[in-house]
Amino acid sequence: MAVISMASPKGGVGKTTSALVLAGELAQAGSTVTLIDADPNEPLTMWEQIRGPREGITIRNRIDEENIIDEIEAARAESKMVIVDLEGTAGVLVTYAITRSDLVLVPLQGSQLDAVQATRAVRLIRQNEKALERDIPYALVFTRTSAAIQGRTFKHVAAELETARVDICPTQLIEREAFRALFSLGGTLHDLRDADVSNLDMAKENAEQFAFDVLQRLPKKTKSRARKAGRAA
Amino acid sequence: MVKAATSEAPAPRAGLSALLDDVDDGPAAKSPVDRDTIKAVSEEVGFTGVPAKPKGGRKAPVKPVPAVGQGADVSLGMAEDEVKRRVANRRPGHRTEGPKVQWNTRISEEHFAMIDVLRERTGIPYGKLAERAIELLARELDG
Repeated sequence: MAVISMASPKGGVGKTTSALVLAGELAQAGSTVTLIDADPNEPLTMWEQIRGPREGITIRNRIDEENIIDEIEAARAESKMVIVDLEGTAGVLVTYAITRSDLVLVPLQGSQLDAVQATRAVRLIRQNEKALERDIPYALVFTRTSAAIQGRTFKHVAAELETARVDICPTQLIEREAFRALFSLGGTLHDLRDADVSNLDMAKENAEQFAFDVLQRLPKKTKSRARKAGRAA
Repeated sequence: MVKAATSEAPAPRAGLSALLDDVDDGPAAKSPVDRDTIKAVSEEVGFTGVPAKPKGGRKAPVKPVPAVGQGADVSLGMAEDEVKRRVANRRPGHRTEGPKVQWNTRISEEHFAMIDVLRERTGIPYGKLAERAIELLARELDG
């Protein structure tokens, strides 16, 4: 019932990979997840076709400006977690999704170009906060970073973003063959075998830590509501 | 401080489950939907781009490259003078010179000139033409 959107006006920053990795971890932890495939290329729909539907993960596609709000609300009713994978363009569809989100993640790689586009997304989130008069939690997520070294450009970009007081997810999605393999072999990290890719354990650990960070950023139930929910259960 | 994700911070799966139980049931759902306000905010920040057409939508037709022997005119009606002129106009470092030519040394400069014409006429980018068209043209002209 919580909605997380992956947003950036730039393509190729890791929105779909982040969405799929997160969905896989949440499903593995016992949650039901709906992935809204709002990218016209429908990469998540193609992913599902490789191995067929994955238990705990539902895909919704054919999304446009007219139906995205209804699709998000329908998904909210059917799953515990909803993840919206948006197209890498600066369009109204992105704004619609952000207004219905409980958390917006802005993936970016450690380049100046990605950082500029990420700040555009942050500006849009902040403007929506003003218009809607509510907080929209967000975080930038560095993707495809090196496990071994942090380049000079990456450090410079990260420092600039911190200076601008932009919220950054402490866990980065490291460049791993296992993450790429999801789109060629299908399934989630937990469906892959050690023989399929190298460093699978490292990828799983990275993904789990990422999911942990994301869940911590979602709005929490108040104590009285939590108690009520506990009694109902 | 941004830090690299390492194995230093294990997050037990039980921790994920507990966090999932604690997630609020979507406060965003309680906020009203006002499409005009949303569009105004979007325009203010420059998010006005037209989304790409969904898969299955109408796409611009791509002219197929006819195969040799199936209607392809490899000469493309180019006069000999035109071929010579184009070859003469090539700059140093052009793809017919130096290391770049290694991938298809069988192709003569005339072939490239013809491919240029083919590209102009069909509108198909060079990269798409290259593999098939060069092969076909080379086979035709060498044969």
